[in-house]
Amino acid sequence: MKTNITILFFLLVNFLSGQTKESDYYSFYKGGNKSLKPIKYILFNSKENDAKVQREGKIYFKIKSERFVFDKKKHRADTCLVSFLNNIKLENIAKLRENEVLYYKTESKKTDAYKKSGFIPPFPVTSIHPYFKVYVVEKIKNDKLIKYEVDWEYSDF
Amino acid sequence: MFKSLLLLSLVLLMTNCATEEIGQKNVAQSSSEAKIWFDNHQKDYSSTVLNYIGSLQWQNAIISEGEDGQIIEVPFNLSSNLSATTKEANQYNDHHRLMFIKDEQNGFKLFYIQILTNDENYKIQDKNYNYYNIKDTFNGKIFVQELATNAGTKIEFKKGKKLEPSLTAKYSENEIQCVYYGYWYEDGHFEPLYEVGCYASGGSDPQYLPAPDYGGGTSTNPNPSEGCPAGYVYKLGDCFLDQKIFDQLTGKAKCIYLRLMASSLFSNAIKKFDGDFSVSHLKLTINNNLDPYVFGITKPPVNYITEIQYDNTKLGTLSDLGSATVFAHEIIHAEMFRKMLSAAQSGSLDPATMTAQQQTAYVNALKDNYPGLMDYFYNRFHATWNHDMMATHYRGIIADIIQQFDNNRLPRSTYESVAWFGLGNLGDGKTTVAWANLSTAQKTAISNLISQNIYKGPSNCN
Repeated sequence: MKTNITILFFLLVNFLSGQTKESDYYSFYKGGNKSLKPIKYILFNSKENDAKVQREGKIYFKIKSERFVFDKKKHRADTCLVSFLNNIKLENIAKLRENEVLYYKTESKKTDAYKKSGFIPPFPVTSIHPYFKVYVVEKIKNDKLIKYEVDWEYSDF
Repeated sequence: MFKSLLLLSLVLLMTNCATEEIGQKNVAQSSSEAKIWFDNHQKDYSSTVLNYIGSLQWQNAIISEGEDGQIIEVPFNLSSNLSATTKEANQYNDHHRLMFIKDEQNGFKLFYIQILTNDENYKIQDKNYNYYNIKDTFNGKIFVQELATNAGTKIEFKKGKKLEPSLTAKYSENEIQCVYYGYWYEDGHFEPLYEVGCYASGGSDPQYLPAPDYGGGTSTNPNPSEGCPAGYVYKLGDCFLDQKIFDQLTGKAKCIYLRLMASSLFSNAIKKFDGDFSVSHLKLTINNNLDPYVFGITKPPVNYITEIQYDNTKLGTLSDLGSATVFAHEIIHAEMFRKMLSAAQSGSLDPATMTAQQQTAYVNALKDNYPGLMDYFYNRFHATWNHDMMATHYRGIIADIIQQFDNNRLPRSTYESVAWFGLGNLGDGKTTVAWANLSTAQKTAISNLISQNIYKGPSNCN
């Protein structure tokens, strides 16, 4: 009986932590199909001039030319073992935007609108980059890291 | 019973169809009469406009009746794709007509009508404008010129109502506006080629009896602002915030802004957000926590508002010229967004909030109205499209603005180099295409001039 409860609890925790939310999806147009955002992991490295600032309950990461914000009201931060890095692929931050454009150009050709008329939706000009779900990964000890769920902010200036 | 039905049918036949037939016949008859007269008398006139008429649209003639009798207005486009605007290039959407008013002696009196809007994006529907009435919430100017004497007058409208000039302003030199034919360029500047005429409110020549009034002065439109919540006004079929420019600047940014607003080039760029029919409002704020090396940032529009944030702490490390360059750079970002919003007819530029049909309309409007933007933002879209476009097409405008701000203190070539600030290296090893195409020697020379003038130099705003 005890074993069954433990398994059930484990499954429940696993189920809850694996749940997706509205912001994990994007759509190319109003009323269009929703697609799950691909996950991208970005390494924060303070030794390489990456900056991290805490302000008003948020943590702002400036990594190369990109800017990410962790808002504890809506994002999760998890502590993991460094071995977590073996299971993920870290993105080259300098290529993140180009990869986003590439992704948009590829995926937008899978929409019904494109199939019907060859129409490609215009690229969004929005405060948050819409197509990738981004995590900033920061090592905190030799054996641990924090994985921050973040918004990738518009940062052209 | 049968007799009653027959009578009713006869009455219906007589009342419904006959009126329309007579009306059409009158229109055709009147415009035909005017056309014959014009063909015979055109050579009697020597006005500039007659050399630049593309083709008169007699089939679209607008005929109105009133106390001055029947008025016939025939629209036309200018030849060679010419456009018209004032010397200040602050009037848009030029519409042209020849206007014929019956005259006992000569057959017709001939007038040239030019209708221009204050707002770039306001669309005029010809049927709403005639001699007796403006059935529209029109903001702009109508220039009326009698072609026999070339004397003319300027009539200003706000929300479809005629603005009466004050007696002192009537013949003041400042009130006279000259109209030119020329070409608009993608970067927003107008190249004037031919002067058409100069007009003042109440007549360009005080000795001459002013040209007739135009537009009647009374709009038959019901007040369209009804139905919008407090603080909002009705525009383009929607309720908009009744405020145009939210200036929340302080310190050095405020000082630079006020100095820039004293120069015509920058203030004209800003005024595009201030038009009564502008679909974009501008919010200027201070954020002293911008990222390192970021002096200002233009946020994507939200709910029709484009916010530009300036970092006063970082502007403090720049010369006044450097700060003015940052302002000009950011205002051009905002200008691009303004054009895109007007194409999207939306409060934001997020396609996820638009249906596929709305997106198609957005892209078509970009194609029709802003082909340059269409090319960079859509046809050849890539991650650095906006800085690429600015580096290639707007550096001249930035140089013009900062040169005017700086009272021509330095050689033109220096302003052209300083205008590259923020348009060369974009970080992470990326550069604009225009910068990449420069030789190493050019890049070095420009970089030197930037560091000599952006960070050093007069700084009276603190």
